Amino acid sequence: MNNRLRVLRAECGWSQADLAQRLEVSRQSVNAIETGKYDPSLPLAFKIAKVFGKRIEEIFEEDRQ
Amino acid sequence: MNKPSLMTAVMKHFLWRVLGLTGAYLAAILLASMYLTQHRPVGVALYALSLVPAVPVLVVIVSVGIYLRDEKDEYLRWITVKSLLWASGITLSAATIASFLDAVLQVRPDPSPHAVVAFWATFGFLQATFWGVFGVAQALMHVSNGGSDE
Repeated sequence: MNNRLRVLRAECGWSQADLAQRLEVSRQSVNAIETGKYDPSLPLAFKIAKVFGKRIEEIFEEDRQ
Repeated sequence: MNKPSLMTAVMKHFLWRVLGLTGAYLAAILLASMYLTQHRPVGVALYALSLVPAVPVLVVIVSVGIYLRDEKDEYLRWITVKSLLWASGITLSAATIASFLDAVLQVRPDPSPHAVVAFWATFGFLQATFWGVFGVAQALMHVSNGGSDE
């Protein structure tokens, strides 16, 4: 799954630690999601969408083969 | 809102608990073997003394369960579960090979304590690998700073 987390975070001027604080997760979690090492659960994906004020599909998209 | 740290509070408690229990395990092996050599107990006392080093190991297994139950960070929980599964698979495979070799070649180096040590060493190595060596180094610095990110 691809995501626009890094771009959205940069637009807001937040560090990974800032975003982790808002999501109440570890910095490692934010890094793993950004780099595509880990796909978040649906509740966490909703939380991410809420933090950025966007819909989930505006942040996450399927891999295109 | 709390500042995010490199490790969750649940993980810190878990690590300190495991460190303490590792010390207890080593002390139990040392003291039990010394007592067995010097006093040569028999019967129930011998059985009880033989099982003393197993207690910290069992408590560590319970601690892992408590960690997985209490950890709210799903990514860290996922890494731990993945490490446990891989460590179980690798250790069981090694123990299976060792036991079949032992059955044929009659080599008997008392495998049970070795299996425990091999499992936790593999688990630790996998945790570090999945987490990233850099993350582990940062986490150790974090602990040495008394939990401060500054």
